[in-house]
Amino acid sequence: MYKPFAASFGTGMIVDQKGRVLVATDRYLSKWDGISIPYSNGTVSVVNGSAQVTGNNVNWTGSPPARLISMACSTLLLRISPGAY
Amino acid sequence: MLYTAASYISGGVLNLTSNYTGTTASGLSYTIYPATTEQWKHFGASYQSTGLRPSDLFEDWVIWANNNAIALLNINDDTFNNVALTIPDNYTVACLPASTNGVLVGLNVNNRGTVFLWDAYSNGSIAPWIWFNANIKAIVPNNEGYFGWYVIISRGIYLTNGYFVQPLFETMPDSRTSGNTILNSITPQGATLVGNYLIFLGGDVATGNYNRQRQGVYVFNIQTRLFEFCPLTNNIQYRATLGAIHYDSVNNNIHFGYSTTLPSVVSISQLVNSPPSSAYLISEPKGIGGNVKVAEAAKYSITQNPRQTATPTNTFNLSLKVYNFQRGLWNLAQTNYASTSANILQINGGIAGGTPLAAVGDEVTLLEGANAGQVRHITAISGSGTNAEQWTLDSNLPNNTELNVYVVASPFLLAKKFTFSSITQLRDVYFDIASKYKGKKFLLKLLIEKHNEYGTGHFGRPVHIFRPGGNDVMSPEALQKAIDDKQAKFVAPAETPPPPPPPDMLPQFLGLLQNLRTPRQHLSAAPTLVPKTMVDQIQFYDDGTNRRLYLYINNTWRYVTLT
Repeated sequence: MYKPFAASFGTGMIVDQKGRVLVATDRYLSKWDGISIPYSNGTVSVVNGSAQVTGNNVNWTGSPPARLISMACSTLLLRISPGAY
Repeated sequence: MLYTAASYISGGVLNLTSNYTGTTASGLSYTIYPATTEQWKHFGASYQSTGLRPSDLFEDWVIWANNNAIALLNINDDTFNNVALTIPDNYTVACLPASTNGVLVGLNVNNRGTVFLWDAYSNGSIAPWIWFNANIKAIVPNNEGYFGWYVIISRGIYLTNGYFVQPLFETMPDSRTSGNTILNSITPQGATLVGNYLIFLGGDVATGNYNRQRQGVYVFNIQTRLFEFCPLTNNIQYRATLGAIHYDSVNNNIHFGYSTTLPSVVSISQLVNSPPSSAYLISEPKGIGGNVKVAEAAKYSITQNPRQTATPTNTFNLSLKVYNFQRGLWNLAQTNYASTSANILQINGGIAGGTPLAAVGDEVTLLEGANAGQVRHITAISGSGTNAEQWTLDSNLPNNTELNVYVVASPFLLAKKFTFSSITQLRDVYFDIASKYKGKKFLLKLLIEKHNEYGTGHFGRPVHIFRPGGNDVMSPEALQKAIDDKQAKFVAPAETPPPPPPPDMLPQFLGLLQNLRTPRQHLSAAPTLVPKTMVDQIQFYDDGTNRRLYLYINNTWRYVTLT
């Protein structure tokens, strides 16, 4: 099973000419814009077998989450804990 | 578990790209990593590896090591070629920094290493490969004019421009013919150049080297060939896993990544100019000739660092220690029980088959644990040579020492210790050794402790400075005595020294000449680069069917078809 961003699979990192942070893993080259910061306000509710995530007090519609989601919702990563890689 | 958000609905609800596979729950914490694409480019199914992938910037490319290939990312259009250059099988790209002449690619195969120049578009190297009889560890672009890189292999440091190579420094501290050196554990991006200082995370722990090859930050002065050493944060000097160095030239910060065993931590730290809590200097061997001598006294000039701007309080301890080369200088020991008293070390004394690991009077340095970096002297030993050996120290350590802590015992015997408190100005310090120690040669160790700090939480803990090898310098009195004893004679220098040879101007042109002499590799695709030299304005093309001669004229590539 592929384990994205697992600690032992980080193999290299550099900031490119555009200020993007590029991270190499065992298979892929990943990118982050180098600006947007992780967001973790509130909590979420999830259901096994469902793709829908419901936020509680997350304020996702405010700023900056709205900007972040509108900018990059297709490439946004969501880490839900507890859980294991 | 990581999921990717597919779409944001509204009212605090979003959809993932895949179903949640965990247990149904509410009130879970979460983290969104915005503007992140985790699987952006693929290094190739045949090139998967958990090994390091060094990288660098070159013109409008980001170049990546990709096992036995080099991958290129063009930052203008984000195109990615995972095999822009193929390297022969069984080779591994170790590092590929860019500098004056292009990209210097470092390769390793078995126990050998090689470097070659590449321009990020040719089908092969643009100069002959340069071989080393050891693995490439790191390559650092430098400021040496025409020589563009320092190549660090496991046994030395070399200068090269991609065409020629010359040794810079090959005699590493305490290196031996069959042993590792402090360069052995450097990672591909674990070295950097700041001014005249080549800074790297080095040291050797694989073979248990705990003499001057301890793990930490080495600062090598390119001009003076002088090493300085800083332990890792919390003074750890042993059993560490060393990572990368990043020099932030905007803020003049030097950052390090590493992990340690005891304590078990993963750290990103910074090298700063704060005064260390302790520092020491070990002299070159003192004593001329092979006769037995008596160490009588030593005199040191202690001066302020003229670069500092904070007003020092000048409160510190100063100790002089003497070693006479008659016992092993470095002896490794390990605690096998946790201490219950701060001045006691519980040592496994049986590891050397009963041979004593230390003697009363020896200096003890703790290499890890809560007391790492602390230096004491042994005042009593009980149970010598057994697994219940106990060392009593001359003063309490800050903490009780834990189980499994490595320590070094050295026969640096204390000659004199001074305590200075808020002295108005520094002065020369005279140590009366009182003829306590005899020997044919001596090492003198000067230890400074507890001097005032105005910064905490950074590197800059005990520092030692040493010069491998080094020449002894006699005092005028010692020289006169040696002459009187007929152990030396005075030879007058020549009245007129010969004029220095004229500067050799040829080396700066050797790279150009070699480039002109070397046959050019053909391209398999039409050239698109913008040439920077006249040589680059001429390209050969062969795709297996068509052969062309390309010329770059008036900002356009033109070609003629060849037979």
